[in-house]
Amino acid sequence: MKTNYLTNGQTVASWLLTGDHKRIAILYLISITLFFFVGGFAALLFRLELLTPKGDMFLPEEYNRLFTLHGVMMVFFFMVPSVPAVLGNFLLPIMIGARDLAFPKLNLASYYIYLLAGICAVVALVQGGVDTGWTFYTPYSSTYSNTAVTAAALGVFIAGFSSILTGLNFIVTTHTMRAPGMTWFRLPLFVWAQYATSLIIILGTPVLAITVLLLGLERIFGVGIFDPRLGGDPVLFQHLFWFYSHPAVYIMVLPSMGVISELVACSSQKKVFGYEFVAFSSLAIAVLGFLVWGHHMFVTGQSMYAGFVFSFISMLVAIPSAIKVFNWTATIYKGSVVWNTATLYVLGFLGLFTIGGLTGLFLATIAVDVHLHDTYFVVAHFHYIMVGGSVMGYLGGIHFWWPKMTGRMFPEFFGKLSALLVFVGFNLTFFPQFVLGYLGMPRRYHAYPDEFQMLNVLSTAGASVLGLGYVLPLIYLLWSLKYGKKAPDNPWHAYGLEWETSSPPPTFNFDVMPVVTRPAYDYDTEAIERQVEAESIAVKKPEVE
Amino acid sequence: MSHHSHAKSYVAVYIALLALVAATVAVAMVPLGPLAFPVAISIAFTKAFLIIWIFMHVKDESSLVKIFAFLGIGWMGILFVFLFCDYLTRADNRADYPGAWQNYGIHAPAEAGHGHADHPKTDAEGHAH
Amino acid sequence: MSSHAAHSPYLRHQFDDLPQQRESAALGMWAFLVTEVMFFGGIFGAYTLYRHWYFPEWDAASRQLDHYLGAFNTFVLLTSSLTMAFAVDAAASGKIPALKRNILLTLILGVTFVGIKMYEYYTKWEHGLVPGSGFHWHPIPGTPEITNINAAELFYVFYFTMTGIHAFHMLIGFGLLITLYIQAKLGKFSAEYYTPVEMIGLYWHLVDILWVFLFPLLYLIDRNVVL
Repeated sequence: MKTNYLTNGQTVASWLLTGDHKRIAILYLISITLFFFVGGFAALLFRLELLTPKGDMFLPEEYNRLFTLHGVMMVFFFMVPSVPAVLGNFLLPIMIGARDLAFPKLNLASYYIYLLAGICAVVALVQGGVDTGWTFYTPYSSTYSNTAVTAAALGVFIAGFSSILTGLNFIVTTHTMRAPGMTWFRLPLFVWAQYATSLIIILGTPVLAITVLLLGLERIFGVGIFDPRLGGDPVLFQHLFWFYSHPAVYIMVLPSMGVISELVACSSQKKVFGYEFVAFSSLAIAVLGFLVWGHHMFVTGQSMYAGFVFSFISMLVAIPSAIKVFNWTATIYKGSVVWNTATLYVLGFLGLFTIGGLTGLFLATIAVDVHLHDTYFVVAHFHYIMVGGSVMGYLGGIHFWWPKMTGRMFPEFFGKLSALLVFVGFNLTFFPQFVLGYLGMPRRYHAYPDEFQMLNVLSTAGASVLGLGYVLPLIYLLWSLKYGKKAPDNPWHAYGLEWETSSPPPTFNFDVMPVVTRPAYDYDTEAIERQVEAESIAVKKPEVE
Repeated sequence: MSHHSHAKSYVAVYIALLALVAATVAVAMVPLGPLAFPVAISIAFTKAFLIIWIFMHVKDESSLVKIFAFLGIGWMGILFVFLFCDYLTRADNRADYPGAWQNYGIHAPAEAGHGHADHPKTDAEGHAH
Repeated sequence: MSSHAAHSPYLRHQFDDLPQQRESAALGMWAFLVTEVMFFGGIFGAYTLYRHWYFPEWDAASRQLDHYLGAFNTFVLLTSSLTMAFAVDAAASGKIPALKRNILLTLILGVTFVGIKMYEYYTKWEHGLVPGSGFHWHPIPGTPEITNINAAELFYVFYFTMTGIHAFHMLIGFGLLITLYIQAKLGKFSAEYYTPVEMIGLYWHLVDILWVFLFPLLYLIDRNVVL
């Protein structure tokens, strides 16, 4: 029987010391799922608190620790690694026709560094958590907070290294390891998206690293560069923090956009409309994303002239994202649309990301932001992008490539059901938050005026549905590993090098290294029909191997 | 692949670097006012360029490596430009304030330093500008 | 495109040929150096801001550093860059004894640099210039007087943080050089394959470049003779 990457070596050591990018992707999948549910559980707890206007479940200090835990877990330990470390790691070498990434050992190191960071986060949790918010603003975080800021900062610092090494690996791999004939403009748009993301990672994350290092030093030594008592400027922390953290939101959404490009082409059985535009828009987002960070600081002490500049460029950065949405929509138009789980996630992404993006423009308008800053409007905006956008892209990708990664099909009914639950639950959770923010409810508050209760109750109800939508895949995907139907090489009749190898792929990805001659997304209806016919014949023969 | 030794060019660059270090020290002793910082930084960039171009062989590398070699400094430039977009336009950069950038490099004699004594930095309000 | 014919023992399985492997290593190392530049970039940005805000105080604080010692240290580090370049050159020519010699020289010069740095830190501690509760400002006669002592302390926060992080990078460099020496001794390098020597050389040169900036920024803010 032919081996694949799952069966080739079955010892624990062969998994924990692997250089195989596909196994490392699976290791990441397990870890980030764990962190996702930790962060999600924190959200569940504070959403329960918010059912009633009074702060009756938790003390204010405890509430602050809960939303900080949620933010830190979700941003640094779930969203930033999610698509790159799981889907990127698994698919990038296969999509470009390579045997592995450029630096397999570095890839494994990246995973263990991530685990080490996770341990620091757990240590911070055990020490009682952090109450500064995931944004760690000084001087509260550097001087006045009595919580485990140093341990959390250390965790973030180390997680940054993991991210940098992954980004570095992807950049080099994309440049030097493409198969013969795989020119840049034949690459799947998923690869373009990972590449652009990796550029952001290596350019931005180091600034976060120095910032949290300086924060940690200030906490440990009692003196630092953000310390107003020495004439330091606390807003400087915000500048340095957001120099990374704004591009970070593009780190969190671009890879999912890459997933959507792949899914929309397959769902429409048609090539992505405006390939070059979508490819270059990823690069444009990467560059422009670095020039807008001050829009987080309109009301915190930044000069208003800088505000003008950041506001204007924030308008510009919406353009490449909009270009993508237009092109994906044009892809679906007159496509031969297949209604499956992936399609539902694509449609969900398109609608929700658009809402998130548009509301971002409202916030980029300084005069409006004066009223909406630090309200639930902001919370709703970024969750529409991060959850309605990124997480839907991630889940869609997990489902889409599940047969390829595991060799098993998941039950389609439950796939669709979960997608619907996520969509409905998400909107019920976060749309009321737009209204709450508009009405003036501040974020990070554990108690609120009575008139906001109904909207909060709706939001918490939605969160329960959303949670169910997340738990279900955990169940049926795990179920499918043992009981799912065996997957063919190309169950979705998709175009791409990953679909030309077995499900699951062999350890070195291909039996024969590919030579590429066809353009990207060369959906050839005739070839697809031929393959379908061939498969139906194969089903009638007993399995030889 | 025969390798032509680069030793001669290394020594030449080394001597140039030492000369530039001496120049850096000398220039600091000359009262250049606001020009002192740009001149010192330019000399430093020249040294860095020589090290990158010759010692690090970027001269002989592909265009791709060349781009990456200068990408870091370029991107750092973005951080600086936008950071100072804020700091140079804040209201406390008026020319009448001793610390204002318009008065850069001009040593305030002891009496004009009163601006600091009037605004003690040690209060907990934070940045007292 | 994987051929078993010319399968060099140095070729890793994921690569098709040695040039691809070498190009990947170079690109990877330069991408890493980009991250190093951005890492220091953040603190250089902060430095530039406060130097602009507190120029008179930073002027006076900087004068307390021994810039001749700093210049000598710069000379030491530049020389170590030269020996590192010679090491790569020797490896490319297959001259392993010269490679080993130059690695050792680089290491010795690097250790000298850090040694001098430790001495400087000690003198600063003696003079009460370490930020924190022990900070005690002694103006140097003949230099401008300052009233804002906090800003002077802020200068020293930057001094110790920036040179400290730099010194930490040198310590990592020492580890890399020692590993390189051991590998050279074990005969791992030849004119055909010396990529680790090149890559560690790149790292070492970066550490040198960082100091090239740190020296004038910290030691030479203003050395005009004060009348």
